[in-house]
Amino acid sequence: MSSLIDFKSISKIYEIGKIKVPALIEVDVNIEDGEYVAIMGPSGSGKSTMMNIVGCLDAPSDGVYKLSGERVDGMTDNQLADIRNRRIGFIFQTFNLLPRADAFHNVELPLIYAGLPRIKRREMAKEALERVGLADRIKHRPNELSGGQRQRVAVARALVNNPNLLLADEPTGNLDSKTSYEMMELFGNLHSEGNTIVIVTHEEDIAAYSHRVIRLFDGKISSDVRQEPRNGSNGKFAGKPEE
Amino acid sequence: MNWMESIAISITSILNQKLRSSLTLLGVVIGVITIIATMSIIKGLKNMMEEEMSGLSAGVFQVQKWDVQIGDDHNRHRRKARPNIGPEEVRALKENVPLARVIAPEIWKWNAVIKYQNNATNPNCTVAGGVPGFVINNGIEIENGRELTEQDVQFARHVTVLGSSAAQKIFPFRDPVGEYVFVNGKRARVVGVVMERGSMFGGGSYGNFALVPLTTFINWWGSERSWNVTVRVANPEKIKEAIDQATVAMRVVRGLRPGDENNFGIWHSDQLIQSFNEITKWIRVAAFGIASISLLVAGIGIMNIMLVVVTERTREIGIRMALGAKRSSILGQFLVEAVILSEIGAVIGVIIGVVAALLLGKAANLPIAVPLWSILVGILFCSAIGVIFGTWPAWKASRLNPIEALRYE
Repeated sequence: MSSLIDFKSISKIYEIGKIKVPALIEVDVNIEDGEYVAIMGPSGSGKSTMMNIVGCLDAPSDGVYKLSGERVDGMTDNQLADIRNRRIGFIFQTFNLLPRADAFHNVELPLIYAGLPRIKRREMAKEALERVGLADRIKHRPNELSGGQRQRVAVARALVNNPNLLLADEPTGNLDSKTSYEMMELFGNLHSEGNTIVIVTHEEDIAAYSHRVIRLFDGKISSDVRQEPRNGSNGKFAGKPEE
Repeated sequence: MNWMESIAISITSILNQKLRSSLTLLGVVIGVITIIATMSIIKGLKNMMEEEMSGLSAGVFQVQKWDVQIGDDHNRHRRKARPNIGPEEVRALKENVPLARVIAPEIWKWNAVIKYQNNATNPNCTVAGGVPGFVINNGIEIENGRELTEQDVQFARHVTVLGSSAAQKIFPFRDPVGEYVFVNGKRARVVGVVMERGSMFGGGSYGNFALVPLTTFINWWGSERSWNVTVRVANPEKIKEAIDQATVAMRVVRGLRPGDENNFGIWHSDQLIQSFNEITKWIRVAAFGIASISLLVAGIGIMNIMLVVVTERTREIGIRMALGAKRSSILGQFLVEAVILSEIGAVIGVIIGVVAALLLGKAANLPIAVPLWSILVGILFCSAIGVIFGTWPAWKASRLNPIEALRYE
């Protein structure tokens, strides 16, 4: 396995007026291809900052970040946009679908920015929606879908470009527990298909599905533990956990 | 991100805010209507004028004492010194302008009155002294009776051809031909009546009008007036060369040396059109002024709305950026939206402007013509407005920080 995310002494310092607020302090972390990692920590611990930097939405103040061996710190805005488009699939707590566009168009969006032709886009977007079990909801708008279905559309959108990394920020934060577990089941399946998944969460039972838990505290890694995932590994689900 | 995609997004977004979009468009619509309607009316007036002058435009020019002058005359002192045009000049023209077919001198007198028994024309009747070529060179036709003959001129007969409105005024119920009238106190027999022409000038120059033989005119009112000489060219395409010949002939008979200015004027209908353009120039400038102001206001409105749109869609911008939209794609998307917004206004403005012009033309009986260029100018102008006023909001959108944009509620 090769290194997908390689943080070397990554720091992020926000300047609010004259006060410097360190959000990440010299973080070293290494995530391999095919891993399923949960990043945990209380609010203010730096986990959102870490996710933004991993997702190339933000640049570190200091340190070296290599994504698939390529240095992304110091890249231009356009290069970062390209990395986000091709290498990373985002899944957000609030789904962040375009409200006026149907499921198909939402999933198609990253392909538009990748400059793919219409016919190719249609094919790929349909396939991605099928993968998350929403083949029959293609023409539905977000407000015509349940929370779980919306998040599935978001997952399809994250998957559609075949990214190296699925990056989920509190993906179950707006879902009820039953739907949350279905979502985690879907994540387990995606992981078993070879996708690298990084989830930011503050829920222990969500983190329990991952194979590795990185805990942040005050901008530093306080623990980094590999674990046996809750439902057995590689998509062999024993059934839904007790609620 | 391709253009089709931006256009589709923009149209959806504009349609989602119909009321707001239409209010924003109002300024653009008004501006474009102003351009189209004004230019159409001016074009209509010009067409009518050309039609009016078709007798002249078909290859007639006129040699006269003064140049055709529009507006302030800066050379009045020099013009005073010009000699009158008379028989010498006519002879010179007849001998030295081989391209001419009909050369007809005429003398004009204004503010005359024609009486028959107790009826009188309005006191602003014009009287011309002319020769047989007068009718054809001035592009008029005889409706009733005959025109002047060589004999009328040769013997200075006391005959007259009446203009249509003059004839109607003093002969409301009977045929004037053969009757005796008083042209400014001089008794003359009516031999013909000019055909009425549909005209915005109420019969043009030949309505309240009387024509008498040139010789009779001189006998009655003296010879101190300068003549005008109308010249009909055999081949209208050679009018420029004919004018050159006439200019040379005039300069020779006047004894002008090279370097001397012409002390006579020559004009033809092209010059009339030029004069018309000169007069309407300021109307056009004013129309463009009004249109520019209204489009400027419209542009500010578009900018305002686009700033609102960008704020409203901050989160959408964040999402698009997270999914890989480059700053240029975001810039392009909102710029396209601003341009489409103003173009919709332009198209509505063109439609209303054309309809308004046509209706106005119908109401005022003008041969309205919508100049294609005014439509193009309107549409291009609106694109420019969209680009100019859309750039700042679009640039603002493209500079958003994706993280903050994603968090925006």
